[in-house]
Amino acid sequence: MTPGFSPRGGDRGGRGGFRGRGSFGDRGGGRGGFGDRGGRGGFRGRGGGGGFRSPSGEGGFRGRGGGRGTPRGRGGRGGFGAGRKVTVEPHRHEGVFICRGKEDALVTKNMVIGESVYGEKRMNVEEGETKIEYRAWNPFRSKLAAAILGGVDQIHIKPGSKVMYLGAASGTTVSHVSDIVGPEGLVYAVEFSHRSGRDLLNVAKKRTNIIPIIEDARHPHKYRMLVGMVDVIFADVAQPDQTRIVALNAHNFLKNGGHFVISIKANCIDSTAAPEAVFAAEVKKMGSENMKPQEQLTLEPYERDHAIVVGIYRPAPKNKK
Amino acid sequence: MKKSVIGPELEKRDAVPPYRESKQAAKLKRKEEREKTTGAGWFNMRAPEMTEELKGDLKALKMRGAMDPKRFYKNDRDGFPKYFQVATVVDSPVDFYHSRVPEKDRKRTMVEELLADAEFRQTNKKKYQQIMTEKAAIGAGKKNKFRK
Repeated sequence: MTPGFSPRGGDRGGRGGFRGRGSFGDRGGGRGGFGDRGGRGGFRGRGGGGGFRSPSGEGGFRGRGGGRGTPRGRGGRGGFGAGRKVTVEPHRHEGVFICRGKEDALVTKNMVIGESVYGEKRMNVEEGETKIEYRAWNPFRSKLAAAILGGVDQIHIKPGSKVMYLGAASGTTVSHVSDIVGPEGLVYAVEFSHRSGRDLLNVAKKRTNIIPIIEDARHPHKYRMLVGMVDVIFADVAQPDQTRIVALNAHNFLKNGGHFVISIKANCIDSTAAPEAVFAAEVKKMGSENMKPQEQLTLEPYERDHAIVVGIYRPAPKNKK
Repeated sequence: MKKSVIGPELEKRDAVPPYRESKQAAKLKRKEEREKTTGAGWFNMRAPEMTEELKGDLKALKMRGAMDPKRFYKNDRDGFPKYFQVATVVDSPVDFYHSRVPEKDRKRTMVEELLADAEFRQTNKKKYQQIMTEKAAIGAGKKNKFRK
């Protein structure tokens, strides 16, 4: 491990702004999906996030079910009831915004105005003629949002960048990534499962900057004709050979000095070993593939035994003087 | 002729204005122009003109810790944000009735929303009076006598 790289997690130093509040309560994640991503829909996201968050006992503006019978403080309405006024400010990360009202939420600027991808809340701004719309980004459903709220230093995804997204699933996070990169950017969304691929296609139909690829990410040569050089690879594949998959794609499509953001689920790599050991082993594997990890953080309040590793691929050699 | 510096009232000036802008001035001008928006990183979000209403909203946001005694916020920034927009949460057909504000109760600003909230005003008034009596008690040298 290089001296500049130290896994964070225990102390969780600089976490960004605002967690503490309840979830942004969408109606408990849509469909179950398969494999890793199944099961999420059911219990998280649904009102108030169980027992491990929301100190005030009120889960956000919770969807249904959450905190039934809790005497609400006042007003009977949460901070994000339709018709409420909120302010939208830029976040530290480019292309990401914070919405502040009674509660805070991470939001992205909607590419397709008037369209909600998975039932998330929208906020609209009218500035004279132009209409702008923002979509709430739920950290319980998206590991990238969880990483941002966890205070990751850099996501490297910004307006205009070209992103390869491995493990796109139904395209919920992909839609937000497509919001961030904007009309000038591109998202290559790779997903193997046909079932969730169908939802992904529906998302991509409306968003011109998403290129859906229903193919196995283990075989990048199958879609090499579709994909150009990319700036960032985001991977959320949850496979035992995840690092190898990312490395394969990086060798094919990632530019020198490009970045990778990998979400690791310890259980999917090795369910018997301790999560920390799994993360360390994965980070070590990256080193041998010309991928230099720069930052690691756990997604603790949002996901259990998950880590995000951010790094650089084939960094430019340092000047020796 | 657009670039010409010889216009009306030239003879009243004591010197011909410079044809070229100085580098410094141009730089300053560019900077001013640039700072009007966030730049491409945040899709050119403009810095709004500060009106009293906007200021009131920002103040209300700043003091939102006082809105609800059961809710706690981090006060993580000082001053007001430079770039921001005021947005309205959009209606969604799947919303349950309690999570939407009826059309006639909708307000233009956050402050107006607060003022329309009877319960908030009541608790606020109570709190205000409590603090006032306390202060008066302290003023009279009878500290803690009125404390409940």
